[in-house]
Amino acid sequence: MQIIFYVFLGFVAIWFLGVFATVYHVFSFRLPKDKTGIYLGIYLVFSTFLLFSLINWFLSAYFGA
Amino acid sequence: MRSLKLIRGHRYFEAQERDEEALLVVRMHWFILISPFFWGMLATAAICGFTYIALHNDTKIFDPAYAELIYRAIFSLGLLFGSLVTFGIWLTRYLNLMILTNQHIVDVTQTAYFSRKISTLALDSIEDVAVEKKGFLPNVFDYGNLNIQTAGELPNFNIDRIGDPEGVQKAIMEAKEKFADHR
Repeated sequence: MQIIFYVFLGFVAIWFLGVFATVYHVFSFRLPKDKTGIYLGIYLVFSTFLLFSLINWFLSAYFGA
Repeated sequence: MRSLKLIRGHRYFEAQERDEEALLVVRMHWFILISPFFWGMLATAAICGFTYIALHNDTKIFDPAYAELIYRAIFSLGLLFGSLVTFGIWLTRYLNLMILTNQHIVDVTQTAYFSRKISTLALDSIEDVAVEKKGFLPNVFDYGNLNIQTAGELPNFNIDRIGDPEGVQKAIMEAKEKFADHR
């Protein structure tokens, strides 16, 4: 079961790196007064919801909840 | 031709001169920008379909004791990373820009995360501007490539998949003529 924990941690770490890269690019290179920040916000809400789905999977897999 | 809203006095790129004014800022065509979402939705539908069929038809690909766990993991990871990749592709395309000023053309190309190329070309180096619309979709949705041929040894300039390329071509040629008149 320990492997599930490390697999879960690995995927979450990769996801965080991906999100960091996305946020970095939006804030570094967007033009003033464009809507990239709004699109990023929508994506982050959607993505966080999906992350909770993965956390839910992990909890049920690891603890059998 | 659809330019982004221009802000007077704003510096659109690092090397922009004080007396240089942006005339036109263009992104990739909207159809190119939203196409990653079509593929993303298709991939999501494929993942959902696979997990649904696998769970409800007793496929025995995995040990039945762990099958539901594995399918749920595939489903969750597929959606999470699918959305990340889709948004990433959209963002890298969205950050591609062509900026036409009264002195230069600037092509900002974001090929991937942490991979950015900014090319600048003086208007007086332009020899010819060619438009290429190849295929069914570019003609229907009115997008295409611009090939800007330069004088001398300078490499040619390619700006890919922008909307109304003929309009942009006209704007570049007009800016070039004005620039030549002012000199």
